[in-house]
Amino acid sequence: MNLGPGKFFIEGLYITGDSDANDDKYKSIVTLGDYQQNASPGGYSGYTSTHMVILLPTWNMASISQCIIGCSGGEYGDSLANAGRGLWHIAAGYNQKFGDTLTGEVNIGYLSATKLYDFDKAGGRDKDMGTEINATVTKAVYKNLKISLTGAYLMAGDFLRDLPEAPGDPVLPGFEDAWTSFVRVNYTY
Amino acid sequence: MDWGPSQETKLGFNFYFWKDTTAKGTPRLLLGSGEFPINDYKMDIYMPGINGSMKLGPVKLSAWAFYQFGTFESIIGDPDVDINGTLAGI
Repeated sequence: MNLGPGKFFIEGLYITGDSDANDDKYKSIVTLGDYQQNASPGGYSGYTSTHMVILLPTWNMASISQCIIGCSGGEYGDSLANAGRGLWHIAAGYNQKFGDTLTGEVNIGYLSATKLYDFDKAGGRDKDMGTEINATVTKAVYKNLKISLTGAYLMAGDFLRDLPEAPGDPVLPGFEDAWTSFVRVNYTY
Repeated sequence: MDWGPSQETKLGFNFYFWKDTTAKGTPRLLLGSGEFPINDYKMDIYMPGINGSMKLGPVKLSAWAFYQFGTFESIIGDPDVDINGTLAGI
């Protein structure tokens, strides 16, 4: 929707989850991102419309494949099914033009698992996967040449931790907050 | 299938059927959940979906959802695994 001189959005995503890994029921979705076979990945099930940079795949950078979930180098896998746990996500953002050649946007988003397995809880996880805030400014130097600068910061949730190697081992510490920044040069011809 | 009940409202319906028989003896799905068979299964998934959008004054509201149901059927006699999942976005 239009808000003042810019545009505002709020968006949510919900995927059902499963809390019992030992029954014969799977209560989340199956995506092509669940297909991984050694050196032949089946692709990832990315969700980019909320413009997250760290939590989900980056919307404007095809070559960056690192994120928390849903990209080809996803810390928690390529599939938004979250290994059966499901997830939910809510995000809001605002973008605005400043003159003819400059645009800016800020986005904030929260990501959570829908359900946890018992071994997640024993390993110290809760459902909070993190809250991200990011900003991008884009300058059109020429009609066909755009340069953008992006910065993003992730407040890591308690889900983001490795599980102990064996049941009963001490709980491992959660991940630290993360940040990233990059410049993108986009030439079209 | 798309349908426009009014000028400001649009509705769409879709249905997918997904069959995977490539996993005979070969690990294909590698999920973290212990209940997922990773080999020796056949997978059938049915996926009905709906999407819609409408304008409410200055706000454009759009939503989409699908439901997945189906089965991992073991071809070596292990128990089948039922699949039930929903995705919704707004």
